[in-house]
Amino acid sequence: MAEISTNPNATTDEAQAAADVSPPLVTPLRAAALVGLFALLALLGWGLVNSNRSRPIEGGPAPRFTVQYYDGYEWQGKTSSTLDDFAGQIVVLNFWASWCVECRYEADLLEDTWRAYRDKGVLFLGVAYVDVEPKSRGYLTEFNVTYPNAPDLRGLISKAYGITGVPETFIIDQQGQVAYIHIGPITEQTLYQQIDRLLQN
Amino acid sequence: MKVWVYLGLGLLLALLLPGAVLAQRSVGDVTADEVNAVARDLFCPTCESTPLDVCPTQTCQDWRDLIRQQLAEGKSKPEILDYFAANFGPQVLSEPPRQGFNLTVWVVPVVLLLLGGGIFSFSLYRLKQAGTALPAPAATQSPPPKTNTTLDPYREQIERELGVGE
Repeated sequence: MAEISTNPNATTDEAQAAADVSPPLVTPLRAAALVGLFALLALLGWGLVNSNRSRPIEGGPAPRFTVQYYDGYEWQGKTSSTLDDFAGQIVVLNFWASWCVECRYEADLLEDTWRAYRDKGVLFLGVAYVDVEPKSRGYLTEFNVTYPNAPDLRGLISKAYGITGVPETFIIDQQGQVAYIHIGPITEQTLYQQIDRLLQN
Repeated sequence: MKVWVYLGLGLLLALLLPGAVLAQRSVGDVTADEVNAVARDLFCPTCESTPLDVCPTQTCQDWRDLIRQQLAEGKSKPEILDYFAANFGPQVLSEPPRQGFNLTVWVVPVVLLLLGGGIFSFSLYRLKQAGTALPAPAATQSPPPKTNTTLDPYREQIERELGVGE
């Protein structure tokens, strides 16, 4: 009986000792590590969302931008413009590059169409994508381009429009909405059709 | 006195002229190695993860020509890299500029390394502590010498009769 009376004390001590040895489930260190992990995941997620930001859609608002024109290719004598400056006009925004072979297929068409519509409230704006200025100028001279042209400084405009390559053409209506997006060299029929449609509205 | 002034001016010109000549070279004098020394710190803007010095596209060729031209004009490597970053965005640089949000690229790995090292060291320390602490309870919890108090009177009697302890 005496043994029985002493054992309960011994088991309580053992349980206490075991409780002292096993670490708690959530320690400050683990909590800090978890917070750090979540912060890192949030950072990665934010970067992913930003990098996959969707390009503008037809019927949606055209992303705002600022252009600084090449000398000799200004618009109404201004050296720089924003999209808001073109409000009320149809803007044919064309991304191109001197190294782009397919851009050459549409270069004459764009210039001819600009000359045909320039007095009807239609503005053509060329944006040179990752192109060096001497080459861009050579291209513009080669195709006798007269409509406003600008480099895509820091790639901001092409990023805002999420272009997949060159050439790409965005037709923006008088209200600043993207009316039509064309990937690749645009055809005469498509270009005239789209501009005429907007002019009739 | 005048002679010394002319001599001084002549010496100054002799020192400055080679620098001026070096600053403005013809494009043809710039070697491919000099161009590539700058180009390898830039990335092709139209292809995936291809350094400019080994990129075969027309875009990269145009960029290398521009680097050659700027080197001929006497621009330094940092000036040329700044030009490309300003015109085409910092993403064309092989090494992001250490400012703004880009700092995370430099800071996060170091912080993670330190954090990981800290956690590892702390875990090792805890393991070591647990290793030295565990045998101790085992030693203290060794069964106590068995004593039976009911036998004590008999044991005392035997010991008394045998004369043990007297």
